[in-house]
Amino acid sequence: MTTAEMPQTAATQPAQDNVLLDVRGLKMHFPVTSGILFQRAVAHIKAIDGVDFTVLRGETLGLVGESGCGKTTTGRCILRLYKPTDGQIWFDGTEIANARTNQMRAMRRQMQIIFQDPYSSLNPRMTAGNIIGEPLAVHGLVNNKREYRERVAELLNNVGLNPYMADRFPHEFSGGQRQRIGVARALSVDPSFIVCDEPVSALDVSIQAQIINLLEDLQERYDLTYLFIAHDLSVVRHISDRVAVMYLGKIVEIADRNAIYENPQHPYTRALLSAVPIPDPVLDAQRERIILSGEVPSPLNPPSGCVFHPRCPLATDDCMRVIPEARQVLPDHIAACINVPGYGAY
Amino acid sequence: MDPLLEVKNLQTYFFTYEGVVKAVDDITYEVMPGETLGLVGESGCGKSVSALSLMRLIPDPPGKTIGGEVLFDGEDILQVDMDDMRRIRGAKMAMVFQEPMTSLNPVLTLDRQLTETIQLHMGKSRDEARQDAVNLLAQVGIPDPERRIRQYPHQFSGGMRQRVMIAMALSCNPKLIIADEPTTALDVTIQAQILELMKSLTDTLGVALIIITHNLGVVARYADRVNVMYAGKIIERGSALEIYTNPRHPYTVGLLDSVPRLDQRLTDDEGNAAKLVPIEGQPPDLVNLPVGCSFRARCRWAVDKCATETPPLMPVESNNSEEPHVSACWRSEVLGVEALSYAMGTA
Repeated sequence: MTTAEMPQTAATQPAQDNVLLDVRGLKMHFPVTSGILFQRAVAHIKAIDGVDFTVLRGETLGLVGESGCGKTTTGRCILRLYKPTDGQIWFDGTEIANARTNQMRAMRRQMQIIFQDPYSSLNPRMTAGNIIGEPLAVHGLVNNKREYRERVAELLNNVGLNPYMADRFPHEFSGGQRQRIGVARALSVDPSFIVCDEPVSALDVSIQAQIINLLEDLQERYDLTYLFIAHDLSVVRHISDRVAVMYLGKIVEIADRNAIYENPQHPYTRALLSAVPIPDPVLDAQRERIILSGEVPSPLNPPSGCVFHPRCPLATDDCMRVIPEARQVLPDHIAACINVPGYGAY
Repeated sequence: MDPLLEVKNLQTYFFTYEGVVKAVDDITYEVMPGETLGLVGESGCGKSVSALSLMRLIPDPPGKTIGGEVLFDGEDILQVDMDDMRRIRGAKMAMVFQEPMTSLNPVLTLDRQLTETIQLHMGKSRDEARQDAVNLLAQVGIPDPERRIRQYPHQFSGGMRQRVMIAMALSCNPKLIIADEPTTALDVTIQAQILELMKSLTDTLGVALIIITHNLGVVARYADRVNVMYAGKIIERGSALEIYTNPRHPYTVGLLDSVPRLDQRLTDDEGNAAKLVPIEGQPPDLVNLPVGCSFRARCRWAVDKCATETPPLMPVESNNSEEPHVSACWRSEVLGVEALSYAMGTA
């Protein structure tokens, strides 16, 4: 974007104080290259293909979907770990999809990420203390060594680790403890927004609950806003205020948590929910089960029209031709399916 | 009816530089013909090792099955020599592994990988075996099997590869299939497809199935009976219904409380958001297991006796007296009452 265009787009930003993050028409297409010396793009993987959503201050937006649907890419685009192909990302009134690297570095004091895999996301040659403390030094948040050590100790305490563990290396910690280090690192710069990218999926069941409770406590204590990315629908239901469901690079449904889980509208959301078994044999046997046929198509060559139509139990001929826009189907309930009753009525 | 598989006092230890890891320590259970048995527990609890011990696939060294009996179809397979074992593996007892991405040979077409076992165990010719393999692929829901059988594993998606693994396990009409985390690497919707497929095939063919998983929901949906493992031991066993409605071991109670569930209430009566109840602490180090109950350090109900005497599996009061329910806890009676009132207060 050139500087001449900047004031125009800035003017379209609505003055909504409660919106922390506003993502509009976000697209991320990765080129598939061919050739060795003179690489040229022969195709594009449409990892995200036009995604709109907002995250309100202090809330947790859950982002669910199967692997390859673009949920992690969405999180990384928001932090500008990728440069989006198209679209706008408004964070606290600032457009960041086209921000320069040094502008972004300052922005990242506000926005942080907790990575999925606590085994590979920590540098094995750095001590826990240095992993947590590095952002403090990068952003100049401490003045001397004593302050640095005190802040690291405080952060370790906040995530339920002991300050004396600062001198240990990542391999000396268990999976749950490593994820706590990841959380402490994200918290070190005092951000207002954290992307939690599958923070518990690599952990054991009994440890998952510890980390989920920690994230909830910290949110309350520090007024944090979360984008919680996960494929486990039960975890997302527990932690989120609102939920967005992604399928093949698009958001197919977004609504309040209770609305999504009690009254899902999009056929994909319904199938996804019915596929999750409940640990209660009696209740589970009574539930409706929709087993989807086929698999997620390749984002390299997505189906025409609605990307879900080859697997959809409700698909009609129109679905092959019409790309369904995300529209309100109920108050505050958005779905992208032309066969949902109420689609287009609002 | 005689059990198809009887595991008695099985002990598999790993001899490492740090010491002896008691991965499977004295477990006893049986599998009836045609039944689906769930084996639940967290990573490192010994559930995979116990399955590999049944197949005699423990890498030796460092691992060794040092004690116990595994009676399969009336024969103690821990005593047979490796040549005989080879005739049992794949033919009578087959395994579906966790990672469909790495458990197929990438440089061979499916044709070769599927027909090899059929030729070897069933004594069929190459052409007959290929016909069988094509039929199997059709049976597990792979479209266009005639063409697909000539392809390599990388040309299949994760779900399709797991279907191939199931076809391979079924190829010699085994009596028992051991599925070690068969769907953990797959997506939710594909998970449902694969589990439904396994359940319907084992039901129609009358094959017994051991499902090893950490997902309590999967076990609830597909297993008839459940063994819960912790630190190398079975700590609770009962029908799936009993385990979920009347858990009598603190670890089972803890596991059920710590997972968020789709049917759970999200707020309590005062409107506060419901909290998960995690199991505090970490699973114990299998090299230095504490004396007494190994769950003691993480247990809300622990008493002095738990520190000195290891509780054996003891019968507990079951809602259905025909299906025995056992738990390795000194306080299972107290637990039954308290856990119930606890669950009713919060959930």
